[in-house]
Amino acid sequence: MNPYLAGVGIGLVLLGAFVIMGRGLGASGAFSSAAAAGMASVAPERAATLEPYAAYLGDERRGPLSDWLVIEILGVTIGGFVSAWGAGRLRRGVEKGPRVSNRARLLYAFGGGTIMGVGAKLARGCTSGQALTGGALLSVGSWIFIIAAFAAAYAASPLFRRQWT
Amino acid sequence: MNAPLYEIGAFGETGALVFALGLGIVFGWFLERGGMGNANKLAGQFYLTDLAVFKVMFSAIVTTLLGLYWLSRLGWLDLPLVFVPPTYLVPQLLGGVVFGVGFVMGGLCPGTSCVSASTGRTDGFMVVGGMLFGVFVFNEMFPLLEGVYRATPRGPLTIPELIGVPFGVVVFAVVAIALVAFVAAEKVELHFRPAVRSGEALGDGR
Amino acid sequence: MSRRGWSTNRVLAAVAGVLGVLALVAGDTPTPGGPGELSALQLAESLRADADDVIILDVRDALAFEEFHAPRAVIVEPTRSAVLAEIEARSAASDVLVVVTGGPAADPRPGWIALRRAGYARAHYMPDVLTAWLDEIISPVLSPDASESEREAWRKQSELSKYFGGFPRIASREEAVGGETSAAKLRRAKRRGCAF
Repeated sequence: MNPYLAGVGIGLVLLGAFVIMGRGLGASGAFSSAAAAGMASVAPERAATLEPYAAYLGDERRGPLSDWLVIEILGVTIGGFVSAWGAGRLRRGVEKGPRVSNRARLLYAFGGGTIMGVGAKLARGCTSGQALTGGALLSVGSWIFIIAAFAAAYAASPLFRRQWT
Repeated sequence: MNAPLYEIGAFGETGALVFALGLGIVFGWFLERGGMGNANKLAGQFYLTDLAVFKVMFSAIVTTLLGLYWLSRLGWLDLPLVFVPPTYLVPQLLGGVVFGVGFVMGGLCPGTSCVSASTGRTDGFMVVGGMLFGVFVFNEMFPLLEGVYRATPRGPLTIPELIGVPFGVVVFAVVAIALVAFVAAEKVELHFRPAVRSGEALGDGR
Repeated sequence: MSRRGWSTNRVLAAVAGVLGVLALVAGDTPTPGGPGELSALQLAESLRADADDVIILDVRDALAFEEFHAPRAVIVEPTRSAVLAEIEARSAASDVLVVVTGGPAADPRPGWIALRRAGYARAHYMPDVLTAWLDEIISPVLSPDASESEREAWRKQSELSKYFGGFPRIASREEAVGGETSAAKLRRAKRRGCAF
């Protein structure tokens, strides 16, 4: 699909979220909920006392919004699957450049995910919650996040060139 | 004024979760159609061979921004009631830098990693796992990071409020910058995209 | 790139361009999210100017309320209906300043939204009243490198701080910035015998 059309589609979904819910979309919040639920099942006391876990343990005080992000991300995985199915792009495999092994690519993927997890927590959001949602609301902090993230990614890109090209 | 619908009590919490699923499905569908579930395509953004990330993201922002302005201007959406994520200058600058390094290393972002995983890519699963581990690392280090995490709060601050310019003027400026940047992005791609790969890069979903 | 692809792009660009240019001349509309959040400084100023003209509704639980609450605040249940019932019981004028204060575990926004929709044009909220009041009123700190305009604002703020029993101070150069948690600040303020 034309990337601009895909962008317009995503923009209309985000606009729909604002009109329907009064708030935008997110992704890293769902990971926070999952991590909190995991910690609560292993060490409930630690989860209840350490704030970043406790804040995502659902109860009536915070309303449905932490659940909301989890269900939304569940929808994203379903939507992505259905789209790829319809277009014949469902395929088991690893996306990488020709010069690295699968194993190296998977290690990079896990490491990159870990670093993003820390960054998204520190910034209170990721590409969805900060860049898209906050960006469309003209939030000052979100635009700082967008510029910082892309500047850092370009600065670090030579380190990972082998992985992709 | 009759929106945001949830804030005026048009439906309850079960209804909200139904909308969450529906909006998520369409979001995921467009992400996949835009090629955003593919780490190779996303990484092209940082080597200037494929600027789809920039095009998708910026056109989404412009679409939503125009929609917000015009729905508000026509009196259909009560913008002050929309939740704006609060600004924290230092943690969002630092978090952005950390996030950006992880983005180019992992090749996917949190939302797109879910699409990549659900379409069968193992690297997508690994980014999902890494994200969970990263959240765990942050949470365990929280007592150390709390000072930075809470530094420089500015509340729900927006650019029009910051520079004292009407909302509509900023909307115009963002649209103008976007249109110029899109033209530039097409030129950059023509310059950097390897000739042999151009057909492949376009070949999704046509 | 195919001719069709280009024409799609041109149509999209034209629509965005027209809507963008019209936004420039179509007049003003409120910004997203604003202006709802109130700073502790603004609240303190209003309280000092005319405390009878300010209603503060605290939606946190009783424990947090007893530990600290803004001067003259009353505790209410954290629901829209409770907030509305409280304001209606007082038969307050619709131009009174109403501030809904919350904390990490109690979101003041639903109550604030209910007030705005009920016509209280000067309804505001504070997402974390404890941290804001400690940082801005009880122990505001001026950086030693502050500019002249910052020092001017500081004089006003420290006067307001003293009025509410706070301890304004100028940071030493060695001091780390932003390293203190709100719990530590509260402990420090209590050690100093600062009564809330």
